[in-house]
Amino acid sequence: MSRVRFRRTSTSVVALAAAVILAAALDVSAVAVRRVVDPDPSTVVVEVAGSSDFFDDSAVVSELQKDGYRIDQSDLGSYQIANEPDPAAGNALANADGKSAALYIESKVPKQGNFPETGNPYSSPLVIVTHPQIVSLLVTAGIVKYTNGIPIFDVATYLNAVTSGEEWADIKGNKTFLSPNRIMLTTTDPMYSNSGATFAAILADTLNAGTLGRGQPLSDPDFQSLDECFTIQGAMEQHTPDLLRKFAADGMNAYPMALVYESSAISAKFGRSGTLPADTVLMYPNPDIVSDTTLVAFNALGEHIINLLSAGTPSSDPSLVGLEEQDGFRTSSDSQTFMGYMASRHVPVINLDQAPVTFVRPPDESAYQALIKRIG
Amino acid sequence: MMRKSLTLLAVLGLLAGVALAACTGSPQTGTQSFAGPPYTLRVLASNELADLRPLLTQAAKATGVTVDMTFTDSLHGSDQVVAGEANGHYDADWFATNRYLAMNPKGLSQLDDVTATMSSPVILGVRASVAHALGWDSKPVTWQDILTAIVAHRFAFGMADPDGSNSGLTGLVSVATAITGRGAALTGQEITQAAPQLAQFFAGQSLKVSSTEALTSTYVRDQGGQAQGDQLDGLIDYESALLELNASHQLREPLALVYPSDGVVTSDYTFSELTSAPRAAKNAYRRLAAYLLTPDVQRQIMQQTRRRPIIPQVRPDVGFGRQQLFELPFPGTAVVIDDLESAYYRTLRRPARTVYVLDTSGSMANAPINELKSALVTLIDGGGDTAIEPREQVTMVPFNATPAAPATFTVPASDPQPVLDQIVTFAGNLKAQGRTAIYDALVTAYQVVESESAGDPNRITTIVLLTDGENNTGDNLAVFQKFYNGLSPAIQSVPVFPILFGSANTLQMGQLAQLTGGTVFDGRHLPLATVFQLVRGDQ
Repeated sequence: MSRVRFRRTSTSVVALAAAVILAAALDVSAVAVRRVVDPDPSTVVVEVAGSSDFFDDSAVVSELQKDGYRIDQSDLGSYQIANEPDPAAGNALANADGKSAALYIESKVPKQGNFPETGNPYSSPLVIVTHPQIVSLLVTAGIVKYTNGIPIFDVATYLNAVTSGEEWADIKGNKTFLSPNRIMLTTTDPMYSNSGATFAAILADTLNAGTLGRGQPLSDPDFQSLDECFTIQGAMEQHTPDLLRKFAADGMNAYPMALVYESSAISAKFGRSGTLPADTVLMYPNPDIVSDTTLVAFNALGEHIINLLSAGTPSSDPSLVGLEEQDGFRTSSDSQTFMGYMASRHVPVINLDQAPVTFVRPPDESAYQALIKRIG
Repeated sequence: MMRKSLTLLAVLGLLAGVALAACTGSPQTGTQSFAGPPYTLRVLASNELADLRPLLTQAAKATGVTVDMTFTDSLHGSDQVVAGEANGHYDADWFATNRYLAMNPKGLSQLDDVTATMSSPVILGVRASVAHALGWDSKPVTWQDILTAIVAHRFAFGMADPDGSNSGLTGLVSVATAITGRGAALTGQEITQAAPQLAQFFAGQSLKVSSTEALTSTYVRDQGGQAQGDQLDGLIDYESALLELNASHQLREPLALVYPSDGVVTSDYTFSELTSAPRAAKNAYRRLAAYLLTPDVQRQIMQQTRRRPIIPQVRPDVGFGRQQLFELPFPGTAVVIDDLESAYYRTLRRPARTVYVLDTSGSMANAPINELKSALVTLIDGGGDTAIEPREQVTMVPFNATPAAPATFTVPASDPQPVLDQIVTFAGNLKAQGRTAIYDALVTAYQVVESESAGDPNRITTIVLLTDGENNTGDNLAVFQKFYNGLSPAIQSVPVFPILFGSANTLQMGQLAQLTGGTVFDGRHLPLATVFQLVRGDQ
């Protein structure tokens, strides 16, 4: 998920202090003060361990404020949160880098009634960001085929290319992309980052023809093939946003293609920062995994926030759900809203209803951990 | 009632003003104002970033952030940060790259926000006439092509030490990765397989120095001539350093910049906030980082430091050439880097030959000779970056009124301890008495070099002279000069590094260093052991 950043509040301490002094000095009712001064003393502050770009979005901040909440995020990564003496202390929620991290955090918090519990308000499949020239080459190489106008990246064919040591120079008719390197998809390091780890699971599923979840470890030759997809890359980024930034900044000759979350690719292309080159193409791996944003609620307030964010719950805030979709996340609301937003921005994304790729379930926890450990 | 309303209005007005001030005072991404409260940011930075001083002075005016830089090399600096030693002393680091830090599981957790600020690939700079003769100024050149030229004795280069400089280590990684030709990140077994070719490549390294800065200054001094025993036709170095050299008016011949088409490795000068830094430091870091990424400032960085801009909105200007640069994958683990460095020092790089000319005259009796002995022991057995290297040939020439018989020790590539012990024993037996005939001893040293080179010419050779006094018998400097001028150019290129202590004649030693292409080290204020380390770094 997002890179650590320091605690950021939407108000200044000075204004807060002044408001308190004012209220005390004039004995003015709270209502009068609220009309002109930020912060609203009746706003409930929601402490969140870990951070997410979504909660930094100013539209999201406003919407939450209308609901009477202000999110206060902290610097910590998921494993740092889990290793605090009491992760739940002072926090309503934790923002986890994926299901595995969420479960780890949960395991470190003493159970109190229903809590801790996890929620998945929005999600994002993995995509591959790339350049038009690279897509053409991959089509020639048989790794990519178009379905419903969207380029689909066949993981099994890619695995063959990796294990046979195929280079960009080997692709028939390639006279323009004179890279000395092998055909390789740049991912994050599966040891540190959820997107890379998810790709390992996708590779394992492809090699094991879907039996990974049943706890069958890969055979040694199959594992070598999977491992090669990472060892050829050498040093890998440890956080997905860093990979996306480098893809955008360093160009095709350094990053022909990179694996990131669909939501971050969409925000980077059209969001506030708009950092991706205009001709960036989104390809979808087949099979793919939908990565659920996992929030861990430590108490009733945390649970309520999750419900606000989730489509289809009694306390769902449709404006927040709409903002999630505009930010490129898929929610469980009518998928046409998301598709509508993307169509209006001319972003070709896959229609989950049409199932152009196979979505596999992430493997169960123990199989997942065993796989990552074996790679490390 | 009236009064209360007026007071209310006044206070509300005040609060509105306060709230407004608070809003504009806080840093926002996307605004053009970087102003903020003055702050001095303590930064541990790579040596070459001294070239940012003018820009950072300007940045201080725009952002209020003054940068207090402490310089080191990127490799040792990264070690410090990983070990937590930077915490509390620095707020941020700014190395050529964070790659080495990232290889340690604890490494990146020491850092909070990171910002790539500018970039420079490590490439080849070749004397224009040589580039032309080889056809390298008119077609794509690969590292393999460079190897072919080296084997044909048509090209020799200088490079900084991989264990002390990022430019050297990056050069080593680039060559090794490209030469193995597998189009993927280097792994341990490839180093072994590629060793013969890599040894051939590094047989072409005729100049070695400890730092990137020393590489530039030594090249200027030795350009086109011979250095440490062989021809010197170019450098493996940062593009920025090569561009700087060309612009410096210090070169007799410009350097043609050769960008190997089979891949390069680029450093992106990542300015990084330490997790341990205080809140105010982090605020200051953010303002400065945002300022550094603005298009105008990126252009200034490009002009002043000759490094490439990092934001897509600013294109590298025409001086950077039009070649496509393909980035080589970088090794994934510290183990591979260590294996590669180890192979370089043990088998790939031309081995060293050092002649130690040691003053054992009467003035050295008691404390000075004991200090000399223990300094030699530290040198031999001390380990670390400046210890005697595997395969090194060490000759000791003790002298007083006459030079003693030279004693030569050749350290094997592996299991060096027995030979190192012999050197230690030899050092322990030195006795101080008699007069001081420095130049006679130096004549002997050069004769040793001549005879040893005849049978074994492939070593990088230096002479280290230790003396505490004036030459008071035997040849004088003028006579020595005549002898020196009669030597072959290859032997003349072997430098003398005088180490002074006691009442040694600074002027004469300076002249000696200048004549032979060495450097004087003043051993009078530092412990001799420390001075030895400095000398080893520069040999």
